[in-house]
Amino acid sequence: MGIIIKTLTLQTPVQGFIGITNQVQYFVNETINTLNIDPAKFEASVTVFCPHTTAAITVNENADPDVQQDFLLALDHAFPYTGEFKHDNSPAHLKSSLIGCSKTLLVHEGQLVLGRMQAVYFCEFDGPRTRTFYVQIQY
Amino acid sequence: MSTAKLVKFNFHTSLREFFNITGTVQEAVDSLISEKNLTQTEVEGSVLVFCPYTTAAISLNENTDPDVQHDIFLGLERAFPAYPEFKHSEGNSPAHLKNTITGCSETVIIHEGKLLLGVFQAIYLCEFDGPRNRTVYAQIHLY
Repeated sequence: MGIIIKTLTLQTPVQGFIGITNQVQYFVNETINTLNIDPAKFEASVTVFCPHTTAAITVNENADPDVQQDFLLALDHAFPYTGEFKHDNSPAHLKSSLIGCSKTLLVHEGQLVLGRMQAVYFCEFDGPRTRTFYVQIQY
Repeated sequence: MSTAKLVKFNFHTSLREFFNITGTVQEAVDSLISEKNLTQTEVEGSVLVFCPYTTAAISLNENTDPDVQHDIFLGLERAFPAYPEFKHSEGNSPAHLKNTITGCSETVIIHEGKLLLGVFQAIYLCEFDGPRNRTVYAQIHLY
């Protein structure tokens, strides 16, 4: 049993969902190589964590990019900027809080367990920025 | 001594529902405890419940009054209605959105061999675009 963490960075657009599944799986592969473990015997969980308050982590549809556009539209409708707000980017903070700053995923036989239509996304609500996220593997 | 096991469950859901899976998850924990020949009261751990879909989710919520579930669906419908500007051709963008808001996984603590839940809490598979056959994974970690 052990624990290992990696810090990753990415460049984001104004708003959007950036797929990070491959980077997470790559770190799982690296860890398996470093530990010199048989991938077929590697059972673990992985926490993907976003240390920002206007960005988030989610798992959702990877097939049709229109879903992501529909998300942004619906979130803007649900949490518009209202005149009574006192802080200038509160809608982005709201969206970040609602979607959440982390997701924990399963690793079975060395592979992330994801549905056919699922991918892991870094959600940017107040870009463009250089953002960081952490990946911690517990095995 | 520590052990991790991945268990798979299959459920059939209706159009929209919160499907209570607490008993099924606890049974899987119980059977791993028996399989490893552990003393239940000495087992500490956690279970990660994961739903591999983009229109269904996992949530912990009220298990007593079913009206709460009705009200959560109603609240989500109001917060995330279908807008004519939506582009996704399947027409189920609201279900994808509710999925992302609710989240595809929850981690629950196991204390003395039992899921550590509040009196009013249960683990639910949340169906936003049924009826469908759904699979749910539970990764059980025992220490």
